Formats: sequence, C-alpha cells, structure tokens
Amino acid sequence: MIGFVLMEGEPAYSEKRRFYQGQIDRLRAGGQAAGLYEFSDDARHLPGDGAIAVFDVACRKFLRRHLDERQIPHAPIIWNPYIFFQTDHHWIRTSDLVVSALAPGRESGRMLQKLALGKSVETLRISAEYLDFNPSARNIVDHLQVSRIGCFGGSQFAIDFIKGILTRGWPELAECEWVDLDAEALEEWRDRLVGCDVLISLRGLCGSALPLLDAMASDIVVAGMHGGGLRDVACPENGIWINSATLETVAEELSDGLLRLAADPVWHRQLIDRAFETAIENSVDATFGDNLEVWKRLTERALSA
Amino acid sequence: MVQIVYATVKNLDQPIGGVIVQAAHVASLRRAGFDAKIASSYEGGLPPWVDQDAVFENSNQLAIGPGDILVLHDSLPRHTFDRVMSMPVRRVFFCQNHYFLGGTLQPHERLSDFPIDAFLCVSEPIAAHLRDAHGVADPFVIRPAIRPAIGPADEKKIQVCYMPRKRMIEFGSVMYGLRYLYPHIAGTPFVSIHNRHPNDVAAIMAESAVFLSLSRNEGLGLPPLEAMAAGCVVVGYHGGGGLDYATAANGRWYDEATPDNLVHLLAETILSLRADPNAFSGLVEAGRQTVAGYTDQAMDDALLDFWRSFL
Repeated sequence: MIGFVLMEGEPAYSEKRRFYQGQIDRLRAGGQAAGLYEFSDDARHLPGDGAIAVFDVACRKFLRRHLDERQIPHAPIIWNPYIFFQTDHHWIRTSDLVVSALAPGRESGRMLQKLALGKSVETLRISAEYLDFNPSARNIVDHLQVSRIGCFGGSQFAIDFIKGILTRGWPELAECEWVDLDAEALEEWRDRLVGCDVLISLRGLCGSALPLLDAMASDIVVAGMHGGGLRDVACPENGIWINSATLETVAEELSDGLLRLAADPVWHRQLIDRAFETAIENSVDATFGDNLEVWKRLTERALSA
Repeated sequence: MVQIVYATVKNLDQPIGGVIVQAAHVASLRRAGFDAKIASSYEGGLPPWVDQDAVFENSNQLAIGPGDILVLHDSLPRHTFDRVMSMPVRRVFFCQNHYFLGGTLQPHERLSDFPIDAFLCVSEPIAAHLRDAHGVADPFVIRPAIRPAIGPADEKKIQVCYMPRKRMIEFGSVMYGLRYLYPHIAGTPFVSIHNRHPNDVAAIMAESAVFLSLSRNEGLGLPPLEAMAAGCVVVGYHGGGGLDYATAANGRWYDEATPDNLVHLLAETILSLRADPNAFSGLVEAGRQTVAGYTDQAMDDALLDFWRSFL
C-alpha cells in the first residue's frame, strides 16, 4: 500500500496533489492499494499498518514524528532539490524507517545519487493528467498568432520589467494582452491558460514543471525559464528556453522569440508540435511504467525492513 | 541660491545603500558650495549611517519654489510621482535601480514622456535601459565610490566570503554541492558579510582569497567591486547592473538560469588557488584596475561636471 501524504498549505500543493492522484489512479487500476492522505497533525489521517508513506522531504516535523511513532516506513520525495539542503534532511540517513529517497526526474536523480545520502535514491518521473487533454481530438489551429501572453512565476517587478521592455520596444508586442497565470486552484489555472498563445515562464528553481507541461500539451508555446524542472527534456525544438540570470538578456531573447513566432508560422508550428510530443512522452501514461517499478521496489523494501 | 533637493524614502531607520549614495551626492555638492539637501518625511533627522556633511530637511516643512531642483528617486509611489510632475520646479531623475521602475510606470509609459529635465544614473546598464526602453537621449552616469579597501593580507586564506541575502537558494546549492561533490575541499571556510559592520566587511575581504558574488537585479552592485579592491577572486553573478564593470578579465562571472554549474566554477577556482596561490594574479590585478573608476574623486568629478553644466 502506497500512502501519499499531503499537508494543507505546503509549497506546490496543487502540483503534488495532481501527481499523487495520477499515481493512485493507475496503481489502483493495476490492483495495487494506494491512497491520498490529507494530514493535519491528526494521526488518524495517516496510512495504516503495512503501508509506505510518501511525502515531501520538506514536510513539517510533526508528520515524521507521527510516522515514527506508528513505525510506518517512508520514502520522502525531494520535491525541490534546490532547497533540499536548507531543510532538515539528516533523518534520511539516520532513520531506519526511511526505505529510499525519491528524486523528481532523471537529472535530479543523478545529482542526488552523488550526494551520499545514506539511502538509495530512486528516480520518479513527475507528471499528471493534463488539463482537458484529448490527443485524438486535438484541434489544430491554422492561424497561429501571438496576441495573448500568459505570464507564470517570477516576482512582480521582474514581470513588470520584462513586460515594459517588450511593450515599449516593439509595436508588434505592444498590443498583446497579458494574463497573470499564477493561480493555485486548478480550475482558475485552466481558465486563465485557455486562449493563451504563449506562456512566458519566469519560474523559480524547482524540481517539477507540471504547469509548463500543461501548456505544451495545450499547444501553447512555452518561453522563458523552466527553473530546473524540465532540465531532462527542454531543448530548442520544444520551447524558447532561456538560460540566463540577467533580466535584460531574458527580455531580449523573449522578444526575439516572440517576434519570430509571429513572423515564422512554420517554426511556430514546429515548436508547438514538438512541445506536444514532449508532453506526450512525459504524460502520466507514458511515465507510469517507470514509476511502477519504483513503487514495487519500495514496497519490497518496506516488507523486508 | 538654487536649492538642489534629493527626495528620499520615508523610512530611514536602517541603512539603505541608495540613500547612502544620495547623501554622498549632497555632501559632495555642499563641499563644492551648492545649496544641496536630502529631504524625507522621516522624523529622525539625518541618519548616522550617511555622510554627515549632508544636510537633512523634513519634506513636510521644506519650502521649494520655481527655479529649485527636485532630484527624484526610482522608487516613488505613483501618486507622489504624479504630484511632483505638476509642481513648478525643475526635475532631475536619479535612477539607482532600473529593475524597479515598473513599480511606478505602466508598461507603455516612458520616462521621456514626462517633464523631467535631466537623468542621472549609477551605471552604464541603467543608462542603456533609460536610452533603449525609455527614450532618454542623454542619461548621465555618476558612479558611486566604494569604501577604501584594507590592503589585502600578505597571504590570503583560501576562504570564501559572500553576501547571501539575494540568492539564498543558490548559495545553499553551491555550499552543499561543494560538501558532497568535492569532499576534499569541503572544509574551505565560508564567511558571510551580511549585517556586518563595514570595517568588519573590509577585514574579511582582505583576508579572503575568494568572493562568491550572489548579486541579483542590481543597479550596479558594490560588494563585488569592494572585493576586487581587496584583492579577491570574484566568482558568481554580476546581477545585471554589474555589467558596468564585469568582464572576463576581472572576474569568473556566471550567468545561467540555474545554479547547477556554479559549484563547479567555484570548486575549480578553489582547487586552482590551492595548487598555486597566484593562479589568478592577472584577474586580481584587472580587478584592482577596474575599481579605480569608483573612487570619491571620480564620483565628485562626474557629479560636479553634471551639476555645473545643468545649472
């Protein structure tokens, strides 16, 4: 039994919930027991005997205390490898109840395996059901344009700075409608994303990138930074990825990319198609087979512990 | 005599780099005989952490009239900005950080659309932004002075000093990456200069061989310059405005969206210094030459050039 534990208010709550739910649905469809546990310092809301608990390594201490008291084996996910070292993590090495540490993505897995955490590191592929995703009914738009730009992540002043440079610098971009995509609630996120031609991502450092995959699956060009969450798959053919820490450079490369999108429909179409393929290759269906092997190994380890 | 009034922020309880620079202008102008002052609605008078040759006026009691000059800063609330635009005074806009202008202006507005008589800034990247994004024809660059450095120690320690405040996550990635990926140099001391007295900062830099620059969205960024003056090898981010001085010759600059490779650049630097303490002597020397443009004299000369021609 795999018990995914989530706490109200934890970072990336919505992304985690979507990932967990996708895994639970498929584990159950394959006849395996799995469940989602919304925990709030009440041990009744934790997985029971025989289960293995999966949760973010950056969880609140009292979650681990409850798991320890009840002797429930666990496998923490290092959901954001960039802040891993700022969290209390030495218990991974010292606790007999930790059966493995879980890394989000292959590159993160390779990096974390080098760090001698004292436990094996298993790599998960982070995906979820995409929004309104139906590849067989994909609506191929003939007339590609850049008129509605969604903006995701980043501080308000960084967004304003980039918006200002694009708006003041190019008449072609000055009339674009800008949409704030930072919404935690899934329905609100979906409502805002629909109709965007481009998603500008100023996403901070993180281990996952479900919102960006959502956009790629919805034929929306992603431009900007993936924050490390798509470092396994980002390439010049599936997005306008920018590798700079300088906002002027980001703005310059964004304007080049957006103007080219508007002027070169063949390239625009190629980007959309390749991004869509990337989304398919990283969909929850395509990646579950790899993850299932991890869940099996964890279960075996928990049983033999 | 014409008053030159540098408007500044309300809260002056804690040291603010931009206010220190404003006060340095005022102090320098007063020494040259101008009627310059710094004005704020702050009730506490001239803060002790600025040049005490500056004069402070409470802006609620300040009489300012036609012919006087109001020097605006880059973080004005919009309602204040609009009010100042309608006042019967001459206006100079002093920009110390261009990244925050979006807090005052709408994306389609340009500074050149407003009745502003002249533009000052602290770095060439800001000047470029004012020219390219705001249509300002001739922004005037007055680079602030860095504090005089303590001469580097005869033998520097293989030690990394750093200012973590603006890139805590990157700092964590680098420090712990060093511990796990380069265990043989993991014992290298890291010394923070955050919240340290300026004299302590100078002493720490003087004894450290390396400065890890964690600059982010700076109008200029003084700590890397201070580190260069102290003979440190500067490794890390220039923060945008640091492109006023950052070159391949004077620092080991890093400009990637994630910090994944910064640990390797820092480790390579430490390993090279361990093998040969003079491994970066050319780079350190280039750094010393770079900071020669950021002295009190250079700032005073540029400041007086501007004001004499403007008046």
